[in-house]
Amino acid sequence: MIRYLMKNYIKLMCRSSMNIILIVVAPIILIAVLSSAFSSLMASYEEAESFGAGYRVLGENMMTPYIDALKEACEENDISLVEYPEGDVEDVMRSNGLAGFVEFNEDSYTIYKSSEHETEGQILEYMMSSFERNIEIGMTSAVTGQQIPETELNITEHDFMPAVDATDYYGIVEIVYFLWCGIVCVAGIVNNEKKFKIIQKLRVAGLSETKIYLSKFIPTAAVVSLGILIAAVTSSLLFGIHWGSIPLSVLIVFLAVTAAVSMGLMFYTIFDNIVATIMVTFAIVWICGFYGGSFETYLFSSHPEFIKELSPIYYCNRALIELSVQGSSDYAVKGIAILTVMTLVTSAIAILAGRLRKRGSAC
Amino acid sequence: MDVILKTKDLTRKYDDRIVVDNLNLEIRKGEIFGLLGPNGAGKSTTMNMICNIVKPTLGSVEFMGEDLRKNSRDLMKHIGFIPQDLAIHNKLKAWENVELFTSLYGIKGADLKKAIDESLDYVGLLERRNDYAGKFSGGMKRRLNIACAIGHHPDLLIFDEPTVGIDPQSRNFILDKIKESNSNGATVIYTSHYMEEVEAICTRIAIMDNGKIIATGTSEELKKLVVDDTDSITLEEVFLTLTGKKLRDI
Repeated sequence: MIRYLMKNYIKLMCRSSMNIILIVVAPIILIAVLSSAFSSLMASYEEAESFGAGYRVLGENMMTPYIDALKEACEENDISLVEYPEGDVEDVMRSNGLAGFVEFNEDSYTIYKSSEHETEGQILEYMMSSFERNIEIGMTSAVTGQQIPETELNITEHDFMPAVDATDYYGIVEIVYFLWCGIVCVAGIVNNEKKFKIIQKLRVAGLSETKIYLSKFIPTAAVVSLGILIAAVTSSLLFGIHWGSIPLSVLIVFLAVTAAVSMGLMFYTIFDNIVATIMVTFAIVWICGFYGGSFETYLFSSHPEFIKELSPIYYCNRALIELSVQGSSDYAVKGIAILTVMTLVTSAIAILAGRLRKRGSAC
Repeated sequence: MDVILKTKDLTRKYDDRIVVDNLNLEIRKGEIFGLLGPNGAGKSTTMNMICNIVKPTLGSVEFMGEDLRKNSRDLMKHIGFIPQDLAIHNKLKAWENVELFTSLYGIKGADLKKAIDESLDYVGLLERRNDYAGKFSGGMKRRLNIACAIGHHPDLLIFDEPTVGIDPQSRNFILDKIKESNSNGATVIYTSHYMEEVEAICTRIAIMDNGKIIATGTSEELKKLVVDDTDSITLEEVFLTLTGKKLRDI
């Protein structure tokens, strides 16, 4: 019954130049601009070779009793950590070719990083913060009476951030960002239906709210998926973007599209106003994108992890980036689960809201 | 004559305002029933309740002997609604618009193709089937609007001011087609502000004001309510006499 309705909605969406610009052209342009603009930033994120770092103990703090463990962990991660008790830090670093230097003070420590070795400096910083966190966990466990974990084991198994260049990073995250704006594709149709009361004719024909919802959800998801696929393939060919594990990446992108479209349709059913829907959707997508790594890389982001994990965009970005650079991602399964639940829940709310709205005015 | 549609104490309130007030109407099978009334009289709300778009506050609509609300999905397949608004998509071709709306009634495949061609031919747009609706003139869009509502061969056609803003040729064409549909067996409910149209095509007319039917009958019968010599008065004068000359700002 709604097959022909969906077919004609697809035609309507494909005939809109705005949709092609937003879903296909805009991401490609933004990928070109951002990957070029941030290429130097991301260059600092290249894979590091083994390097040397120095340290000095000027005062006792909670970390100093574990320095031997730290040295061992560093060694296993190709960092040679050597003590330099004397001399000016800058001179010591320069004369010994050190990428970083750690100064342990009373209740604090200071990390010096060489501007010539940005990646190594990042790794040293990450190593130190992980080391500190593991000691804190161990101390908390001791206070609470739980067994103290073996600190050495924890710190020797650090996963350093995967190496990714600006083109791959922005090539993937901008595709993800724009697909979340996919509700725009159906804006012209719902606006026309409301303005000319076409929706009433659908109801006169006896279409249920579920069918009315599906008749928009399926074509919009199909058109946004197709547009995003074209944008992803084109940008990959133009800029050489690497997508990892194509089937899994395609699945994540497709589920993100369904979640984005169902969320947009849910807002439209609630507000009954496409302008309000687009404003709210864009605001939410912007906030989720901000914390999810669409504008600055989530890799360097200083936002707390729990805030980032509130953003579905973060799961998409992280899973797709990790699939791209290391071929697997712990976030892939989480992302698939979250996007599926999001699609089902927002679809259910949209249908329910539609029924309630209809009950308020019609039979 | 059999009654095809009957309203029983049909009432619609918006907050404290009664828009349709205990309306009792009987539409007979095979007639063209005209519904006249000033702005805000409750005509469109009545049409919307008959078409199951607006829920009545009280009362019921009986269509083909069954309660419309209780069996709306089946019964609505026998109704064709031509709204006042041009309910078409400008970025779809004429045949695509007809396909979209006709298919909603479960017509598909070869039957659908046949229905599309018949509907477009009926309103004189078959030659323009591949043109986008957005390129059509106002009159052509009105005709396309009709084509979109008749493909499933409904028993009851409801026209809500279908001749607003179009040239005399298109208006004349539409009125001829309404009469043709009626002679082919369809019952028609027709609302309009144009008295001469209603007088020309309707077999029975109801005048509605403040949510109530204030007079019903043939054109002649309505005129006789005001004067004995029916040739000396027009339907518009009858209408103004019965509803008053006060402006209706809603």
